[in-house]
Amino acid sequence: MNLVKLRKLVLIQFIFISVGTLAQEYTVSGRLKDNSNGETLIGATVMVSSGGGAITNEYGFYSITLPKGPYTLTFKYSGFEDVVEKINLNQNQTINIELKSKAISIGPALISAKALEKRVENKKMSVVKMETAKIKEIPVIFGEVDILKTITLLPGIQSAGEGNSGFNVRGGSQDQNLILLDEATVYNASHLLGFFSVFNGDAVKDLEVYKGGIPAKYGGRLSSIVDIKMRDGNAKKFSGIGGIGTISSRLTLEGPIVKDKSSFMIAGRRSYADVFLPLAPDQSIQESKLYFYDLNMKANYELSDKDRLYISGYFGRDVLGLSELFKINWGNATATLRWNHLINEKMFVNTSLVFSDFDYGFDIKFAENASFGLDQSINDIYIKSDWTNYVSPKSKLNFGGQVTYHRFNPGLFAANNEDSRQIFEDTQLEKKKALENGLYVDHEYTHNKRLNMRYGMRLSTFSNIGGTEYTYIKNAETNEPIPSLTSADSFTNGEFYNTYVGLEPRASISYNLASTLALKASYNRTFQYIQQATNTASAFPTDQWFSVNKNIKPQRADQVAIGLFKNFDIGLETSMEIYYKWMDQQIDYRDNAQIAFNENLDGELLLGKGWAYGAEFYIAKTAGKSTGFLSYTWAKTMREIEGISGGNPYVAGFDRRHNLSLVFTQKFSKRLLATASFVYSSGQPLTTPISKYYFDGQWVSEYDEVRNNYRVPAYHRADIGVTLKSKDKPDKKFKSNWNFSIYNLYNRANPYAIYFRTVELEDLEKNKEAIVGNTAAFQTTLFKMIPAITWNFEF
Amino acid sequence: MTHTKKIVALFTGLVFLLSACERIVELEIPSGESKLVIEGQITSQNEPWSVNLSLSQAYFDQSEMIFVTDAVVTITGSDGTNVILSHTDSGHYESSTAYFCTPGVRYTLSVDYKGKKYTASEEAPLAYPIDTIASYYLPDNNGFIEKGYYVFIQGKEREEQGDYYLFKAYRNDTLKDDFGVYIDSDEFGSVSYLNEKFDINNIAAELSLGKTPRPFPFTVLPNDTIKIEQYAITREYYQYIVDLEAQIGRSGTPFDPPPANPNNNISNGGLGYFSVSHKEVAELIVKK
Repeated sequence: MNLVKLRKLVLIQFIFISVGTLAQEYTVSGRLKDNSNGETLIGATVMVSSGGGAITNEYGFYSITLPKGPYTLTFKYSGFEDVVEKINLNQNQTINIELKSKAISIGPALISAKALEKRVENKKMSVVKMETAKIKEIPVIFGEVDILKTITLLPGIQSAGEGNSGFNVRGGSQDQNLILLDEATVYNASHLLGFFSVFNGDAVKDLEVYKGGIPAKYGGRLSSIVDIKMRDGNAKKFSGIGGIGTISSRLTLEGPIVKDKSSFMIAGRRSYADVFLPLAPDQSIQESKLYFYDLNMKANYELSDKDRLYISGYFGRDVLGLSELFKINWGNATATLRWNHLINEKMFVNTSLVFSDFDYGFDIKFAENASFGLDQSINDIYIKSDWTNYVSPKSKLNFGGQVTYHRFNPGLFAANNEDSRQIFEDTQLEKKKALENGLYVDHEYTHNKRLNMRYGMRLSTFSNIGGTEYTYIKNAETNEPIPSLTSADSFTNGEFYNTYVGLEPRASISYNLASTLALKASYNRTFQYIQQATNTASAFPTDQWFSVNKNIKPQRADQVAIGLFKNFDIGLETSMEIYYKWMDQQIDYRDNAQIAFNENLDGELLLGKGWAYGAEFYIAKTAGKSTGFLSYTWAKTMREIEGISGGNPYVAGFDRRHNLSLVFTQKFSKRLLATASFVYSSGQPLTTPISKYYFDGQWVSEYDEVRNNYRVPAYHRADIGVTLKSKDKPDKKFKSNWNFSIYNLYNRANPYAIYFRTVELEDLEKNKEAIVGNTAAFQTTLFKMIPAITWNFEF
Repeated sequence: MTHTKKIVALFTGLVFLLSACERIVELEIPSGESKLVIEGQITSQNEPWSVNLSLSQAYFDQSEMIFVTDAVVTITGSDGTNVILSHTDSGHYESSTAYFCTPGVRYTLSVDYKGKKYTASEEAPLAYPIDTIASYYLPDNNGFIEKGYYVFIQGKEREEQGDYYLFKAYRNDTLKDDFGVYIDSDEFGSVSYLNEKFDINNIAAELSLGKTPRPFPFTVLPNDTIKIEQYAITREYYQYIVDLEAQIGRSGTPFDPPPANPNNNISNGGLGYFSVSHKEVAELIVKK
C-alpha cells in the first residue's frame, strides 16, 4: 500500500474518532469469564442486536460504545452457553459476565447458521489458534503434550523435523519466529535438544500463531509470532491438575487469593528419563545426568475496578552430564509484570515490564587440574505499553510502544580452578549491548456487514551500544574464501551507533462475498534485528544469538496473502490461502564456517535474498461425535546468496514441498475418546557427494557445488491415541483419565539424517551385506514405534 | 581435537540412547566429472620430494582408485629451486635426489595433465626443534585417558601468534592408525602438545603437585620405540585438515557440519592439497 495514502487514512480515522465522541453515546464494558474457574475468556464475542459487536481482548475485556437506547447483547464463546442481556443504555455501564461451559454433548450437534456466518467473519487471516483442550487430544511422542509440535500439523507451519521443536513458517527460518510467553520472549523453546518443547500444556491457556497479517503491535521477527498465554489460575476454588507420564510428571496447583478477585497458578514438570540410565550397560551412561524441569507461575490481583496486576514467570532448565567430566545445561527464565488499567470505559491500557533470559553453559573436566567451562547468554529487559481505544462498535484503535535493552554474552571461556588457569587462558568474547524500539498505531475498522479492515504502521529502530566494530574485505581475486579483517573501531560503553530504522506497514482486509463466504487479503512488512547463528538442521542451545551491526544489515520481509474462507452448514469450515514472501538480508554461512565461539562471526556470514510462496488448504469439522481436520500445504522456499551454490538460486535447507496432516477424533461415549493422525511431508533437501577421491589414506567425498541438490526420502507417520475418562460422579471432585498412545504406528524408519562415509567393521553388525572400506550412504532414524501411557488427574 | 570428538560421541550417544538406529540405504545421487587429485607434502628434511596423483570417481563406484601416470610434475622455489618429479609407480612421482625446504621460501607445484595446468604454492614455515621427548606413568584413569604410560614432548613456540602444527606418532615404526595424527595451534592460547609450562626436568615433582603434561593420548609399554614427527604447517593447511576431518567425521547426528568441500590450494578445480612444512623428529624408548 502506498505509504502516503496510508498515513492519510490514519489521519482521517483520528478525525472520525474525535467527531464520533461528540454524539450522545454511552459505553458498555466489562470482562468475560468462565464460571467454573474464573479464567478470563479471550476472543469471546459480544454481539449487539442492532449489528456489530466486540471481541474480548487477551484479558477478557470488551467495550462497546453505542448511541443511547435499548439493546440486546449476546455473549458467546465456543463450547459455552450463550448469555443474553437486555440493557437500556442511558449511561456508561459495566457488565461482567460468567459463561457456563456446555455439557459435553455426544449427539449430532449442528452449528446454527448464524454461528457459521459469525465464524467466517471472525476468522482472522493467516492466524492459527488452538485451544489447549484440543491440543491435549492429539497424540504426540511419549504422550507428552507439546503445543509447539502440535501446531506444526496446521497449514503453513512446518516442523523442522523429528526430535526438533523448531518450526518454519511460510519459508522463514526457525529464528524468524517470535515465541512469546505472557509477552516475554522465549529464546530457546527446546527441552532435551528439541525432543520436547519448553511449554507445559497444563499451564497454557491459549495459543495464537500469526503466519501473516501480523498486527502492528508485534515486531522483531520476520516470519511469525507465536503468542502463548498462561492460565490465570482458578479464582473460584483451590484445585489442581497433573499427570504421570512416560517421560515426565507434572503438577499444577491453583486457587483464589481473594475469591473471584484474584488467583494464582503454579505448574511444575520434571522429566525422569535419567532414572533409567543406571540400567544402561555402559558405565559412562550410568553415571550420566539427563533431565529437564520447568516451572510456570502466575498470579493476578485486582487492585480496583479499573486496575489489575498480573505477575507471571517461567523458569526451565535442561541438564545433560556425563559423570563428572562433561556437563551441559541451558534454560530460559522469564518474568512479566503487567498492569491493566482502564482510563475510562473506552480506553484500556496494559503496561508491562518484562525480563527474559536464555543462557547456556558447559563444563569439561579433562583432569583434576584441567577443568574449564563456557558460558553464553542473551538477556532482555523491556517495557511496553499497549493502548486500546474502543471508539465505536465499528472502530477500534490500538497504539503503543516498546523499548528493549538487549545484552549478549557471546561466550566466556574460563578455567574452573587455579591449575587450569595456567593451562587455559580465560577468554571473554566481547559482550554486546543494543537498544531496540517499536512504536505502532493500528486501526480495526468495520465498514459494514461485508467489509472490514485492519491497518497500521510500526516504526522500529535498533542501535548498537558500545563495543567494537570490525571491518572486513572480501578477497575476491585470490579466491580466498575467508574475508580478511582490516580494522576494528572501538566505541565507548554508552555510545549509540549503527542506528537502523524500519517502517513496517501492515494491513488486512476482509470482504464477505456471501453470508458464509469471505475473501481476505493481507500485506505486511517486518524487520528483524537479532538472529541466531545456526549451521545445522536443528537449532541448538549452543547456537548463539547476535544482533545486526555494520556488516549485518537488518533482515526485511514483505508478504502478501489472499485467502478464501467458506463454511458449510454440515459443520465444515474450510479455508484456502496463497502467499508470496520476499526476504532481504537472509543469512547463510560460507562453506566450512566456524560459528561457535568466534569473535569474527561476521566474517563467516553470507547475506542474500530469499523468496517463498505457497498455497495452504484447510478443512475442519468442529462439531459432532467425529471431529478433525485435514491440512495441506504446497510450499517453495528459495535463497540466492553470493558465495553459495555459485551465486545461483538454491532450495532452502528446510524447504518441504508437500505437507499433509490429517487428524481425526471420535467420541465413542462420554468417557471414551480416540484420535488418529497422519502426517506426510516431502523429504528434506540435502547436498550429496558427486564423487569421491582417495586422500591421506581415506576416501573423501567431493560435495556438489549446487547446494541442496538432492531430496531425502519423504517423512510420513501415523499415530493413535485413546483417552479413557473416569466415571463422572457429581459429588466427587477428583477426576482422572488414562491416555494410551502409539507413535509411528506402522514403524516407519523415517530419515533423521542421511550421510556418506566409508563402511567400518562395526557397521557389519547391522548391515551384513556391506563391505568394509566401501563407500556408502547411511541413514539414521530417531523414533520408530513408541507406545506411551499417561495418567492425568484433576481435583 | 580427540577430546572434543570423544565428548561429542558420548553426548550424542546419550541423546540417541532413546531409540536411534542407523543403516545403509541405497540412493541414486548425481555424479560429477572425474577430477585430478593431488597429494603432496614437502618438508625441511633432506628427502626426495614426492607427489601422488589420482582421479576422483563416482561415489558408489567401489573399484580401485584410478592413478594418473602421464603427468608432468615440477616444483619450483622463489629462491630459484627447480625440481622435476618423475612417475615411479601407481601415480607416485618422485625427485631423483633429496631436497629440503628453506623457511620463508615459497614453493610452487605445477602439474600438467591432459592439457590442463594445475598449480599450488605455499611458503615454508619456521619452527624450533623439539627440545625433549619423555614418558610418564598415569596411575589412574582420569576419565579421558586410561591409566598407563604416555609419551609427551616439549618444545618452544615462536614469539608471534600463528603457530600451526601437525604431529604424527609412530609406535615401533608404525603410524598409530586410530590415535596417531594430531593438530594443534596457538589460536586459543598456547600449543598444548608443546607443554611449554611443564617442567620436564622434574616430572615426578610436577606430577606430585597435580600437574600433568599433555601427552599423546594413547598408552605405550616399556621398551616401545616411540617416534614423534612434528610438522610446522601453514594456517591454510591446518584449516584444510580441520575442515576435512569435520567432513569425514560424520555420524548422522545433528552435530554434523553442513556438507562442504575443504578449501584447498590447488588451482583449476584440482582436489587434494600440496603442503610445505617444517619437520622435526624426536624418538624415545619408553623406560619403566
